[in-house]
Amino acid sequence: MKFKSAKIVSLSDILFTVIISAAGILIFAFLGANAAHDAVRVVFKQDGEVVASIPADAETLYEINGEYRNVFQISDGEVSVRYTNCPDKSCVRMGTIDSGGEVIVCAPNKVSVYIEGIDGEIDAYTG
Amino acid sequence: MKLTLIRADKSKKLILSAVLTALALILSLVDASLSSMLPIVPGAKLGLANLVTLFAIYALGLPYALMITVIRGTLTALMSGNITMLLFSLGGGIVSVFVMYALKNALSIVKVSVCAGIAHNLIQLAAAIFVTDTVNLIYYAPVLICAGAICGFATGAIVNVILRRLKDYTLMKNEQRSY
Repeated sequence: MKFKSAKIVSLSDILFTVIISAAGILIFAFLGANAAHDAVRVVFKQDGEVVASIPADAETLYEINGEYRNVFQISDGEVSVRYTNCPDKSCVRMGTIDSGGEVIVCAPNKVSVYIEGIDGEIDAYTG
Repeated sequence: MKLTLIRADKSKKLILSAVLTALALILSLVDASLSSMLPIVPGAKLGLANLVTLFAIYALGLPYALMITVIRGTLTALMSGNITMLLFSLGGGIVSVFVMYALKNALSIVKVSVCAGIAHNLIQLAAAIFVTDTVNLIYYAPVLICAGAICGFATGAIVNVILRRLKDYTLMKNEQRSY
């Protein structure tokens, strides 16, 4: 293949990328539709251990102190990260979760929060 | 896409990899602050440092690309002051180097870059699942595949341009000079 005559991006490159991205979006939409259970409990994990399980209809703040500090807010059945001193801040940017199976993680702090839905199928994952 | 490696002596290659490592380190710091301004896919990075890795694997070969990635990953983790991050920066980086190496003679640069970007993101997701022991996180995988594909596409296109321009200039012609 002659390098000089090749285009920077060929049509097959574009198709390749678009098809893979589209597949990703479709699978996500499909999984999202399947995961839409009402929130029942909010479960907090640190270092792989469940440290707290709070009813999703509570109005409260929950704080986890590890290598960093995470303050979670539970309000109107929605969970979000109110504050963290972790420099990465991806947990804050993960926004608000409100239905069964959804997760917020703070990987540097080894902390995760997920919502258990109605039918308890999420329980199977927790081991 | 098959390209010839830079045919320079070992010390010249070593110096070039040192410069590239510094560049990769700067790019990953820029990447970290840029990515936190884009609230589209939290946790996913633009993968600017992959520009350097991709360039290195085509221009210098596997050992140098691997060396650059490992040193860059270690330094990034040390700078962030969190040992857990070492798992993320090294794991994703090393796997994507091997993906690039495995595919580089079979596919075009852009496709190689797309695959490497996806592999990078998925390994980081696997690391996050492992570290937090939260299997539910797997539902995030399709978004990361999508983000990895788009960022990989951009990275691939840029490296394609860089390699093509450099082919006619300094780096590739060095060996013709007499010292």
